[in-house]
Amino acid sequence: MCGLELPDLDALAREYRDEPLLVFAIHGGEPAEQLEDFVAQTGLTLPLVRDEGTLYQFDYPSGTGYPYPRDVIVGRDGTVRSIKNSFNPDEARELVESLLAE
Amino acid sequence: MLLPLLALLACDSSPAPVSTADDTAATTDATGNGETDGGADGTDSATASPGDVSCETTTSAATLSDYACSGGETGCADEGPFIDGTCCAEGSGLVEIGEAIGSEVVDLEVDGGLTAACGGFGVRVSDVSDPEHPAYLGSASDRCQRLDFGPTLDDGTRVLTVTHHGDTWVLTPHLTTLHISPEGNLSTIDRLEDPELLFEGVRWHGDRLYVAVHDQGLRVYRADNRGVPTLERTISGFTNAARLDIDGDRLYVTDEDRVHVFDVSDPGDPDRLSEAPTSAIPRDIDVADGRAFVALGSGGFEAFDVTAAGLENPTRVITEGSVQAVAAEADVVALAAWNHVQVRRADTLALLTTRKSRPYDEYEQDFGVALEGGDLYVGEWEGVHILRYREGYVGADIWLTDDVLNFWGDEPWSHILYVSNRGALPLCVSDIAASDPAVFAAEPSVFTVEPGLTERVSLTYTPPADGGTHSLSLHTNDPDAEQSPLVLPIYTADGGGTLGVGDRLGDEFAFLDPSGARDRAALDDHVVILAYFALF
Repeated sequence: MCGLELPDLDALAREYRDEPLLVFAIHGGEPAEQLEDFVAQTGLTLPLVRDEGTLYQFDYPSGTGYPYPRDVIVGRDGTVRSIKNSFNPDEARELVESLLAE
Repeated sequence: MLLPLLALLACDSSPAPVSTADDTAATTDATGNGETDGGADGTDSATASPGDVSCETTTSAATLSDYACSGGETGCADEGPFIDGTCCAEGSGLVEIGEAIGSEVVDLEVDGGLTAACGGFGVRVSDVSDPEHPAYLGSASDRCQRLDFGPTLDDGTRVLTVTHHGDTWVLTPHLTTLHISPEGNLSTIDRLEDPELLFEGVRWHGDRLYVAVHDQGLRVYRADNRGVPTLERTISGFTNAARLDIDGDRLYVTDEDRVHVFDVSDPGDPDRLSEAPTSAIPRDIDVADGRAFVALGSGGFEAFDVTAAGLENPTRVITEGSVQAVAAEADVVALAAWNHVQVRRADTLALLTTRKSRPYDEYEQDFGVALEGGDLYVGEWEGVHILRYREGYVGADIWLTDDVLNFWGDEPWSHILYVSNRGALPLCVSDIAASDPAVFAAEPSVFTVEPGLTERVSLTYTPPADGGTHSLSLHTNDPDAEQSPLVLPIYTADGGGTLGVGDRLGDEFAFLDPSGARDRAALDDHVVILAYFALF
């Protein structure tokens, strides 16, 4: 997830706020003041969480070099359903809806 | 200065070189040049680490002592890493002298002792009249992507114009006029917003403001006595106009596949002179001293002769990184190439020196560069680095094919790491040390890479019982402090293996429990989205 794409995800989270959907914006240790600026500028409502070493546990496309963006969608049974290196709001919405219906 | 010691540190060339470095020029002429103090700032960054002294000390063909000091003696004049007979010394050709404030910097300008950097959190301005001690003046909240300093008003106020073409954050593109008071205070004077105008590059020329407006072509604005622009005319005939530069009475405008040249001797009525195709999509353009330099992203960069009315004799250079921005001044041209900055001769385009301002694993991203009085202002995501170019300083310059090693952690693994030397002196790799020698082995771990060549290093990985994170440290004689030792991070999954589609999240995700109780079960029966992000 590129930081610039987070508002789209934020909108998705707000759209489904009454559904059993948890959305976490996970960073690898960005400076606190930059995160504060970021939230102030964007009005982001997503919880910002510092990673505890989980990013590199996910499948990683060989040769891409850079770890971000990485978007993981997990079903209600706790299993990983999607790992993407780019965020497509429409695609994500479609998958979330199908998983909520399971 | 450590020259007497450094002269003894030539290495043994143990492995046979496998290929030349893929860049042009840089090291092809590392023969015979000067040897004593170059007379620069004396900040010789080379140090004698324990790794250095473990090198073999046999004589190499191109140690500094083989160089002459200046033109008129032997070798130094007007060759490869030397310009017009400069004295030569061993050390880093670029040393960081200061850092100015910036965030998510995508473009920057330096003018009249001020630097302004556009980025995700607005434009930030610093006083760099003393570049070794930048003083932050302030910021304006307009997120911006391109900028240019305008005229100085009668009361000493500087005009600064910034643009943004619109995106998720800035829903409506804008062209904004700012004032910087003599006391250094910033204020927004005017803001033109239009959803149909994708404002891109901007350049001032007297009281005229030229703005590239994507599919709307080139717009010419006339400024009032406060620097507030009013549209004068629009010029079409572009395929998405993006960046521009002015040199004398010539205006250069890039679009998707070419550079357009205009005569602006009548500033309000640009007269189209010529155009020339580029080898890839232009990212930036800078024109100086009869040469136009065009950044081409992963396509390298291209130089044109513009001494006549057109763009002639294009010369393209493919280089490492992705060239995002270019700045030329006097004899040199600087390139911001995503993961490093480089300086080249403006005439031959030969590589003079490079610099990674941050260690490999920090993923620096160089997007903007400006040159002022021999100092490079490099815009990165986390700030503006001010680097001093030290003409005549030469050294080894390590370059790796990998920024990070990442692979399945529970399986044996082997990998060839390519170690190149883009510098003018031999690169002595005196040790490749693994954080856990039982896990990683490198062969060879002591060797020399001659200028312009590349060596293969075979890495083997034996899965440890407990997984974990490891690193390789390469000890070399690269004079850049950040490069020796160069720490190459290695990421492997822990003993539990990597997670793919169909795998279940384990207890290590308990930190996401919204209640703070660190109960992994709190995630159950929910659809969960994990958005790993970085601020760019």
